[in-house]
Amino acid sequence: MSNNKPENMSERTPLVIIGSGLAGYIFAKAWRRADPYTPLTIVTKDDGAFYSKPMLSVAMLQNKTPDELVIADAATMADELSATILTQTNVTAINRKQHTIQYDNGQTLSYKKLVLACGAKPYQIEIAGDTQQAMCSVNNLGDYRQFRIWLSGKKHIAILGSGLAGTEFAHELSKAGFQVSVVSLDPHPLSRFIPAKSGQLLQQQLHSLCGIDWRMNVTLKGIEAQKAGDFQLLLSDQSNLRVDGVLSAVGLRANTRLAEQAGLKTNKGVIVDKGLMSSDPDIYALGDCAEVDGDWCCFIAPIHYCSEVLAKNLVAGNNLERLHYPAMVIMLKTATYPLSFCIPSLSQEQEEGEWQITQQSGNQRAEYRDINHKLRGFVVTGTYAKEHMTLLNEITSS
Amino acid sequence: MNDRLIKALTGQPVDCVPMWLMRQAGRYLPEYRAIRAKIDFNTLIKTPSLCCEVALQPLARFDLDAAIVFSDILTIPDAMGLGLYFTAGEGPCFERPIQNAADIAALGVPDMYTDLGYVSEAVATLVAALKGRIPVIGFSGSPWTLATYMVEGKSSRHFERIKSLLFNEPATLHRLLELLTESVKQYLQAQINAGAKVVMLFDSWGGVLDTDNYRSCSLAYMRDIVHDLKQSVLSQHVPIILFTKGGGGWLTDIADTNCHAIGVDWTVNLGTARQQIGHAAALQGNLDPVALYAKPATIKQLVKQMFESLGDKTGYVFNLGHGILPATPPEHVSVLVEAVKRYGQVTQTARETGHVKQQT
Repeated sequence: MSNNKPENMSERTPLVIIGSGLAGYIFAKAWRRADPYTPLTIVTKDDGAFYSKPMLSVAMLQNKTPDELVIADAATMADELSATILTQTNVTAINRKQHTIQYDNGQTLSYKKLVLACGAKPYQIEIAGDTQQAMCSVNNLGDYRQFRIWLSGKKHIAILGSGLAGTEFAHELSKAGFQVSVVSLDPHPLSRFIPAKSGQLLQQQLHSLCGIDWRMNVTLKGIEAQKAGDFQLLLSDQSNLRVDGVLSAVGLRANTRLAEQAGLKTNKGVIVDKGLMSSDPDIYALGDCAEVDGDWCCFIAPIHYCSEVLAKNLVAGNNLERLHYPAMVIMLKTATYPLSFCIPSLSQEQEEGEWQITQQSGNQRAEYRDINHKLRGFVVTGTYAKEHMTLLNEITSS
Repeated sequence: MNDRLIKALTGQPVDCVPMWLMRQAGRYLPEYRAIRAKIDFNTLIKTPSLCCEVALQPLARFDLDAAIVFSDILTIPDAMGLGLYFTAGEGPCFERPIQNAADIAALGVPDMYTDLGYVSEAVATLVAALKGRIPVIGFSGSPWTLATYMVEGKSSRHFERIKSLLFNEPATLHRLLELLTESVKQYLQAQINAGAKVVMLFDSWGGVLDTDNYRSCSLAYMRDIVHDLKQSVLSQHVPIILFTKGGGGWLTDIADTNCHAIGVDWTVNLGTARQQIGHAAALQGNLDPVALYAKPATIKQLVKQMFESLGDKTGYVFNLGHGILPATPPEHVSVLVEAVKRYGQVTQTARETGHVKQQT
């Protein structure tokens, strides 16, 4: 940064984004379209490659190697965004008073506005025994490279967790020829998002179509290494499971350490309002690290809406644009037995509704309708899965 | 990606015959010798970043259509605990060679992540460095070839120890071969998982066997490996090359394994080989490595003759008949590459004909 013209400093001080995941790059693209002039610096602890994270759980069956998931490398992204991208760089502190961030070797960088897009990391459960040896988790491209190597020679994999990632990986690995057992404390897969009847059907279908062995309503009590690559899992229902490795997909923890140390308000994520502004008016957050208006969710679709709102606010120099999510569909990437859902949202607390379920030979349509029979959410599976657009249109038009 | 190699190995038409060279990264390159002056071979193959650097060296000089992971065929026995070391005169040796049935009973399949993860890392590092420019070839020694080193303890002239085992205690030898086969399956799968787009089995010593024992001790296990890789969703799209040095008499048997391609040494005439196997498998080879000591004009002439002998260029990969020799002048390799690019051109008509042949 040239500092021989101090009077122009503030104009030439960049917008700084911490993180080069989907949140960082999708926002950068949205903002750069509206502001071609302000300098942009992206600081990332990895190699800055732009890749599609949702592909990580389906790349294997598509015969894609980790490197084929890369859409553009850091140099290409820097060129496209007219940005400086500092790769392999760990941000160690945010100095809000001085408007600087500090990284690795004590170097500092001034920011005009700072956007936190630093993501989340896999939640590490603490289990007695040889956990480190047995366990693997996948949350970024680097993890995925390791995971592919880790899988070699393994035949039976236990997956911890039955959320989106756990269920998708269970499907992927079973179709790739692995024997898969899912260990989950939930009563059925996707229990945070879909009703029991849909979850039970999904479980049953993935068992009969892919051979997935579901161990539900149990927790993992311990892991004992028998020898290298051979582990005995002790479950809370007193049963045992002998596997070659454990893939942990029990959820994420937002990376809030930097924000906390800087004295920003955090809860499950960095707390931001509907304009994506944190408790510091010059610092914003989006993606997996942000709790937006009390809502922390690690999905892709919200990133697009957040990016548009934040880009508008930063360009306008105010915080007037407010986030409003439309109804969003989430598609479970289990090609053998597809499932799409839209989480019901009710505008007022007192509103109520109920699930109405139609089922025909293993295919299900579950509709959540309010007291006025308006569609508020749904789950569609199997042959019904392709109806998700029609149902989404019904929600948005009402 | 330049996918000429994959196309040729799967019998699809190409614009020009693809080429790579066995041991293309090696002692004939001064930049390789410079690294080896600082680092011993064992450390080199166990350091993925250096393996990557070395594997890229020939690509900076020559327009080759594939990279091959820099490693050694004896990593599996080493991981089984035999203690691989290298001597200047004798090549690879084992500290604790297999002596008897009890030694074999004590062996297990190595863990591909903890024991052999450095090879997968080397593949992944190379794949990442190439950014999809050209495919990376992964490889392993064949079970029989690995067994010869494990029992002999080093390179051998008459293979007396392993052949004694074969003739006196065949069941014991087959137990070793079965264990090696399972290891090789996992090892190749690991390299494929790390990003290898093609794999090759080096059966360097299959040619020392009589026909019956070649079939039962070498080929049967390679067939099992081919079958296994074709079963798995993760590897079924990856072409497999089988190379039995001295195996020119068994080409139809090798093609019968369902492998994608057969490596041939220089004792085989390419046209005759093609007549024998038809298009059941692609062919790879087979210029005598010593021919690279010849004058540039001779090298060009030899390449031209190879293509004339071959005829139809569909399903063919240019290579040497064995690894490139240390005394080869790198400039002669440039001459070779230029000649292959020239004489290996495939005309539009030939490409279309090739395509029709593929479909019928």
